[in-house]
Amino acid sequence: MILSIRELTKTYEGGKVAVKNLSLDVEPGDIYGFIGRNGAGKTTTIKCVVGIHEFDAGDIYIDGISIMEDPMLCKSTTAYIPDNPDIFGYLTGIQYLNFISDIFKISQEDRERRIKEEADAFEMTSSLGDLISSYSHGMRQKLAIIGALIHNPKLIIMDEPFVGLDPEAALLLKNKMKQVCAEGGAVFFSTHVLDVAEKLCNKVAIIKDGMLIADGRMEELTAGESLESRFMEVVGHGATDKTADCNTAL
Amino acid sequence: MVQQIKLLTAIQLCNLYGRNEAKYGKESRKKSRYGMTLGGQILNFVFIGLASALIGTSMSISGLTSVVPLIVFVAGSIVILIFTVLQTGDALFQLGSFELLLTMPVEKVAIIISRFIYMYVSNFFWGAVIALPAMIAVEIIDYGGIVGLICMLIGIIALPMIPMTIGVLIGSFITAHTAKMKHGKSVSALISIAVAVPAMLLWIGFNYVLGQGDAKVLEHITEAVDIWVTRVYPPAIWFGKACQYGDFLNIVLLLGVSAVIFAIMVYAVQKNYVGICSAVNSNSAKKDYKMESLEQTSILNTLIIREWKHYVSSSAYINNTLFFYIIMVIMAAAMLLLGPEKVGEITGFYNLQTIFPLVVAFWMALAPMTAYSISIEGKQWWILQTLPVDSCDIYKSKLLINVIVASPFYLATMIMGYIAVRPGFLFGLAGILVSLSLFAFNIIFGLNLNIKNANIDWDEEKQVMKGNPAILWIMLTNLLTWAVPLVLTLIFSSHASVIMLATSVILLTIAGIILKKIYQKPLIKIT
Repeated sequence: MILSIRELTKTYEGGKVAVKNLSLDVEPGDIYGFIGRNGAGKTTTIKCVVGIHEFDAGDIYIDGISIMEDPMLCKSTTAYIPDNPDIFGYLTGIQYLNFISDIFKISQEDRERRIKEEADAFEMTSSLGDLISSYSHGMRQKLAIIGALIHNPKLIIMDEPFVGLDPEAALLLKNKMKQVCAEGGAVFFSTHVLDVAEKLCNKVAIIKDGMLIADGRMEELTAGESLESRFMEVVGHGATDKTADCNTAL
Repeated sequence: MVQQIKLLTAIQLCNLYGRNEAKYGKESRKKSRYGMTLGGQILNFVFIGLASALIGTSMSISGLTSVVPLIVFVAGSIVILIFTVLQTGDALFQLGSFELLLTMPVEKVAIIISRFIYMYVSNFFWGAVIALPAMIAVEIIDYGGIVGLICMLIGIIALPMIPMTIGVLIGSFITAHTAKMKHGKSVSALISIAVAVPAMLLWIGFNYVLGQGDAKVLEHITEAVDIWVTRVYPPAIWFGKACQYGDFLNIVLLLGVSAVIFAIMVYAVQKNYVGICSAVNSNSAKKDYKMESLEQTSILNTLIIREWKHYVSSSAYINNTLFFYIIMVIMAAAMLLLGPEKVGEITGFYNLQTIFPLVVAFWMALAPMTAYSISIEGKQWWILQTLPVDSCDIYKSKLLINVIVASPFYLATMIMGYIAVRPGFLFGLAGILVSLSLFAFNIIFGLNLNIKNANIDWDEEKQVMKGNPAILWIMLTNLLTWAVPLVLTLIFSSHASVIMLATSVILLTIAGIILKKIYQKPLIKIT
């Protein structure tokens, strides 16, 4: 497994249980969609995986290594793209990418080549000399994606990656995701755009009130229906008493 | 419009020092942060109030009662002028709600006045704690009667108006002219400091005027102060006369002038408000970058470079560090030109030849960057958290950037100061050690405080300073760690070198222990 979440539980101060006993596995080659209503626990789960939030119980393994035991090693093979990319506004785009390259110890030749490739692909090269604070939301998102791709991560974690991207960039990102998976990596991302998830993902998980209520291969989960109708069916009705049925059915 | 002003002011004031978040938030951390901020602020006020009462009492004993109102009015005004100049850019033009408010049917004048009132409320307390205790101590009511007392209270309420108005005008002018510059924020911060430093020097000069002569020539001192204040800041004279003689006309004059200047300020600012706000909140992009060769560097180096870029782009960072460093360099330069005795006489740091290294340490450690260097990361903190970087490298970069920024100022100060003081080898060495160890202790302790009280959830940079209990506590710690060796050095001046060396050993040992604990703190714990 490239990502394995085992019985993850995260409770916020004040007692709100954001994620409860959540388990799922992402295998090499997977494009794994993570869907749920607002406040269902998607971002919290993702933040636990990438090392922003601590969690109360369970464990998370990246490429077989527990993030509790060796977070540095896990982070060195992972890339994270947040939903609202607040990136150092006081740096220029190229300074940010050079900074990321230094952190991931990318050689001078490699960084120049990879940055050029990715920046050209996302049509960002001419803007790399400008301050990030002057970028639009979509440009920041593109820069965050470039920063995530230049160190060839095995696992890419994304929170609502398509928000703010223009159609060309969105298509490019989808192709990049496929490319990462074709090379043996995996992508795990949250989204509200069910059409995209249905077309792009080979696996999907549905979360409600912090609990996983359905997960598995796309075609098995949808069973001939659209993902949207299946999602409404699973999430729209009463709560967790259906969980067992769903998971069993899958 | 009055209703709009009320509404906008209430919205801003409801979260003064983070009160609203503490009241309605569920996180106990936010509540305790609010408590600590408030506690630290109250302690600050208590110390300043005590100092004010002491000054008032000692002047009263010396027979200088009549100049106390002038002194406190001038002191309060200078402090408020400095605060306002330094914070206008952020407080008036950079609030996140600016765009939202402009789309609503709200008068620009209402926005400006409400923001001015917000600044007034926080400044009023400073004016009051500086002025009121001294005035009570000299029993000013005995002079001006009940009318004098009423005049005093009205005067203290009015005290912040003129310096704030002048400060806002200067701050707006600076913001308007630097907003579109390439390094506008740093330039703006430097100009603000350039305005604030002379204000501070003005106060030192005022003290010098006051310090001239002795008890035999009291009339001359009073006369000199009167002439000085009349020339530099007449409102203080009006305030003094109103309090001392119960002269209500003078307080009416003070209020009238404050109102006129305030009206001029509102008119001038509102005329250019949208332009300045747009300039502050917009960015230009060239879109002409061509791929160049990129250098590879070590992780620590790249983190330090990033910290440096952050430092020079942040007016809050620059304002809170350079101000004290520049004062320190000016003091050393003055020592070189006028001699340590004369500078000691002017600044009130008597025996400067002995305590010079401690005075340097005081300025160096007064507001270490580390006390807010994590909080200032704000919503970008996720980047550092998710990178495969050892947390101690992040902490090292934050400590080292403070050392890098302080170093040139420290070197200049020590070289000039030592040329002026001409210390012996042992005292010279002890002086260098004690100043560096006090600095090291305070930056390490400051980082520790910030780790424990990190506030990364902010929208405007000024919130990092205002809502950060670490800054208040580090200032108090600095005062304490500085005052103990200072008092000992003054009492046992013949053993100054030994005291300084012992202080260095103790502080470095404690700093080492704290640093070890800091390095073990994972970034994930800081939220």
